[in-house]
Amino acid sequence: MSTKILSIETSCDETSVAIVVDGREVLSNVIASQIDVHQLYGGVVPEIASRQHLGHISFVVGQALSQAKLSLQDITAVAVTQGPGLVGSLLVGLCYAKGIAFGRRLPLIGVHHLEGHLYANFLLSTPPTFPLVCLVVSGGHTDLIYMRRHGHYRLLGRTRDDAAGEAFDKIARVLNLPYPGGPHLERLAATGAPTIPFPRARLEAGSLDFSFSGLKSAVLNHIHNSQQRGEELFPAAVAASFQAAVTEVLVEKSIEAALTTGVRNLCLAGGVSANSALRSAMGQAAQAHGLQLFVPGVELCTDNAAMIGAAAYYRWRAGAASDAELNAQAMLPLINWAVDSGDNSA
Amino acid sequence: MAVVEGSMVRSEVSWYGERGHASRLLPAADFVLLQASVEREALTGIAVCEGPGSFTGLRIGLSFAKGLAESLNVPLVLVSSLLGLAAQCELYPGYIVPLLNAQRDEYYAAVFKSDKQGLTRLTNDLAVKKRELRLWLKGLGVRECLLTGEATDEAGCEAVGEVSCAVAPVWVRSPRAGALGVISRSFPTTDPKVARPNYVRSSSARPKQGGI
Ligand SMILES: [Zn+2]
Repeated sequence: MSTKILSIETSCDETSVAIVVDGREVLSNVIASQIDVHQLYGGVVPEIASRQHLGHISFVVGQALSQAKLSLQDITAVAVTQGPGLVGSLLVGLCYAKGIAFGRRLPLIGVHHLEGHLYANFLLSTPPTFPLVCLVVSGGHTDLIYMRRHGHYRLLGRTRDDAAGEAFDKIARVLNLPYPGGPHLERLAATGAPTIPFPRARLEAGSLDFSFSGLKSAVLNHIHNSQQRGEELFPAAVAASFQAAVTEVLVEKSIEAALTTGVRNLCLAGGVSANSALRSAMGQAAQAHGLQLFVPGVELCTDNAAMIGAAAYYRWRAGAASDAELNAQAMLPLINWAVDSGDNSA
Repeated sequence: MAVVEGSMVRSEVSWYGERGHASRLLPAADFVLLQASVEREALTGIAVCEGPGSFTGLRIGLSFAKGLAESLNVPLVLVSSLLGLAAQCELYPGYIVPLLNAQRDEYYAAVFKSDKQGLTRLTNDLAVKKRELRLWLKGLGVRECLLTGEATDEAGCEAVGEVSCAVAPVWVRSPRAGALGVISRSFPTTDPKVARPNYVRSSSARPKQGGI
């Protein structure tokens, strides 16, 4: 019999519920966005996000079930994002999931948000095979992760300061772009040319870590200086040049990570991987190096519950359901759940 | 958490602490059902505290209650935390004022009157400035009352004004799920999908005023 997982994701400002069959088939993936509300504040207000989640959750679940033409009786297990994220938001999804799981006597599977992003790749019609390297790039993370098999993660590199998405948001804010900054900055960049030589932080030789604070300061200085000198500022050129600098480093390090670990499969994941400049640059570089690139569709790159359902399936199949005391955690490291037998098989 | 049948509390468990409520929901639910020898499928309704109180705490309770009510296909009943506290002191003949810490120098408060007719609510659940508590009570014509709730000691120790306050014994000052369950029977049911807490206060965030 197939495994139908009802999955819930409420880690930030999107209430999402999905039904995923056997970790492969997405029957529904409903997302209630709160962008309109938070736009008024120029960013996500945690207390408001939590209130919105609680107001939306039942309706989003109802929609996910009806789109999938299923009722709660058909569900095999309940999955929920456990962290990292806004703890108040996470708690709404988690406690609601506990209520559903308890009422229906279903197993509950807590999923790491990043693991979800990563597993969006396994929803592709041709999913990646192991071993693989995945660049997880979002507002909170810029991580290069090596996976030998399901549930087995090795961190190859990470940002030492800002996450790439965070840098996008900050630059968008100083360019007076509305919230959320990333997509607006991308749109602006598409109208300009990368004519300003902003720095690329490559760090010491062999390091797969990232750093975006120097780039961020350079962009801020550029804006500040041109204002001081009374020169005209070309926001589209700033956006395009900034995006080019971020993209170049992300692509370089991802390719380097794949080459040094000898994997053939490179995956992209996380909100920033919805950025089309990054997608196409990564595609070209992967092809040039004979690597197979996997990139989830845009709707599966940004926060959604289908990715949580995909990750939950492999956890559940491995017998790694959560215990009754599962709690939400604002900070949560990505922990291996694969039983490590030391071999290299997937 | 409690299992209530009619006016009888079949089982009840309470625990304290700023954090960790979410992690104890399932063990507590298992425990109270087991102690009451009741299967979850036999529950006919879920009562839950609607507030006021800690925003996060209210959401933990209500999120769980929503999920439970929806999955069991039973109605939800929302009960005020202050009413629950007042009901625990119903033996006191007169005005009962439950107080909870609301931060920002305020209490969550309401005034109830207990007499032969039972418990009557005289005000909505409100946030009241701590230093204006006695003035507020005086304005309502309260000369004598019983204070209860977690902020009892703090409010009771203030210089005695023209309102004389008795204090409830400590063992009735904490909210009990059993009492909440019993009084929930006289309240209308709510569709769990639309149920929301009574926060009393809005989020403290202010919309940005143009520019950055
Ligand atoms: Zn995310």
